[in-house]
Amino acid sequence: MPAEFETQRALFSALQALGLRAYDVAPQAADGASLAVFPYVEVGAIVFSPMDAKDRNGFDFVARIHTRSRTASMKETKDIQGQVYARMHNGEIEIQGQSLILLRREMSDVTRVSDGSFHGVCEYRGLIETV
Amino acid sequence: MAKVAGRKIKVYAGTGPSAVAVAGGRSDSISINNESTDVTDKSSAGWRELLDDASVRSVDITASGLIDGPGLIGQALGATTALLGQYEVRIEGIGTASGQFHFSSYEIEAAHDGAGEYSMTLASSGPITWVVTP
Repeated sequence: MPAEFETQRALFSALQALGLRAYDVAPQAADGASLAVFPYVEVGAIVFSPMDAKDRNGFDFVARIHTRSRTASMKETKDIQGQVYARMHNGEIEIQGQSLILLRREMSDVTRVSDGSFHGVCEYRGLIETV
Repeated sequence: MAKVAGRKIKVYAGTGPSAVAVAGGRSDSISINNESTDVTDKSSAGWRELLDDASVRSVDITASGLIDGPGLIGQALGATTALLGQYEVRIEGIGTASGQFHFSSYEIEAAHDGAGEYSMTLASSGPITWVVTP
């Protein structure tokens, strides 16, 4: 499978292994409201750039991991972000067909959504090379 | 004339079919030097004059890329008497320059938030042979 999909799959599996409810894209109601049970995380959009050597291809990717929470404070979102950070930052994930060189968090943010829920965004950057 | 992509110009350790491309290479720079002999004198009417043939001819290779395996570090830190070796520069579809080179330097750059990178320099020792791809 392509590196894009295998990377998503590896991130997805690591999040699920933490006991988190993980989605590619969370299910939505017709009016756009979330049908997923809070809290949950989403990992879908991953931006890939080439990181090729002359004898081998590789990728520099940035994956956005979204955290959605509906509680009275940001604490639940930040707790989940911390849990993911402890697992992923400088951590190892197994990406089929690729060798992981580096995985690290580049940024983390939480905002309040108009429906009263909280939306956390963390960007994880990874370097991989095709084996 | 045929243009060539940079990735099709590679440095190989060894010669012939058993030569191995330098692993992880991303950017190579090859300079061919023909040192001139200045023979300017009063009769040159103020213009520099150079001899037709070079005084010293040499080829220098600077290669950089991502660290990939122990090969190059082992060569750089190997026995001091084993620094001369056969290397080739292959330009796909154009030709191959091969000869003996001295492994002059090897540098490692290791940023905490990136992949480990190297840069190395090779200096020719003796004649370099240029064979055009048929």
